[in-house]
Amino acid sequence: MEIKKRKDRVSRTNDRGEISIPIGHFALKDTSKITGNTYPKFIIYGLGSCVALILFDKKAKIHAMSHILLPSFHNVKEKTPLRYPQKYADQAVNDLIKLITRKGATITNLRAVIIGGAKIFKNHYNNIGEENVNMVRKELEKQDIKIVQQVVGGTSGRNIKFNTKDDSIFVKTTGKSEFKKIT
Amino acid sequence: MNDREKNQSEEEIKLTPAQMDSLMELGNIGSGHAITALSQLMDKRIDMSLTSVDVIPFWKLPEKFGGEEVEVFGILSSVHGEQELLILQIYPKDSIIKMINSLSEGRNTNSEDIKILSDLDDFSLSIIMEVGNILSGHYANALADLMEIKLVPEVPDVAYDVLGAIMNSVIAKTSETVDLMILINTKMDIEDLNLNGIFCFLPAVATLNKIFTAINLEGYY
Repeated sequence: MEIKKRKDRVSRTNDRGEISIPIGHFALKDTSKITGNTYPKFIIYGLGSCVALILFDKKAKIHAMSHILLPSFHNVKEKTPLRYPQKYADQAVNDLIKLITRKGATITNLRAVIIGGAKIFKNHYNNIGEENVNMVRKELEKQDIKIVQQVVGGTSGRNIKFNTKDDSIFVKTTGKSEFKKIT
Repeated sequence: MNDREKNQSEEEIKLTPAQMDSLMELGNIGSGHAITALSQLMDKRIDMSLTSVDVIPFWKLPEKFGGEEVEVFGILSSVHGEQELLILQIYPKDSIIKMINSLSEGRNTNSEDIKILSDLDDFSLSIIMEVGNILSGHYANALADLMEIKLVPEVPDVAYDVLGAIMNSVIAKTSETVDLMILINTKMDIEDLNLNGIFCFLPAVATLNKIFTAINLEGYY
């Protein structure tokens, strides 16, 4: 499938040069030809039990981020292709790898960062956040992709900024006043 | 019909005006019962808005509540039985603190001291849980009466975080197998105390037709 036609890809920047990624969506950017200071920042505000998966190839200068909701896709009755593969961790990882390599990244150069998977409600017995993180890790491991940083778990939400200029990532946890650089 | 068309038609739930009205009415009556209970607890007059009904893709839910970065209290009850549904209550921090102070004599918690949920003492937390429990119980009972079915609400769960993070849990619970969700919203306001909140009722899309059958309407497909 042609990447351009995917409805779950966000590419529109706001006036601060940010691309905000809703749940079940992804952003993908080749910055090798960018001049000046027009590198977009991928952002997610209010990440709770969801997981942000970031992939980048520093050499090819290609960057991707997705916003994953659930660990796995169970509905076996569905035969048509998934409308939002980035919604499910067991689909999202491979899908994002395919997208980023098709854009020109080399799989052996890919590095991953995972953020999120918090337990927001106090007594939730099933911990979807943790399941999300575990599934993303497992799928990355299968593809032999190195996780260079992870900020996961806990009981508070997070805001994330990923600067495609230098692959620096900033995280602000609910209750804290500042963003903190994690890579 | 080819696969592509089929997939697209599955994405749409077209509700008739009568179906929309009936969902709105369920929301009006359910939230009305919950708000009456709160009014008695607080001994204050409470204004409520008209109930709105929205059919939206799962990822648009946070937009329906304004800023994803606003910090709020969320009280979430799963309701089981012949219908599966969620009842979610959302309150600004100041409103919850006013509620706690007003319901516990001699207590004067300062809203600015509360940065995360664990900054609240157990007693304050138990007040929130109890109020949440009573209100979602009244909401669910009203729905059960209207539909003449049995509904069993779980003990509610509470969170204090930015709206987006709270919505993650709500969306994860309602959109595991479907991409659309139905949101039935009622706002309430105690002008005297400058206290406000939102009641949401989210029926599982999979059992939506059962709701229409229960209230003698045709299903949506």
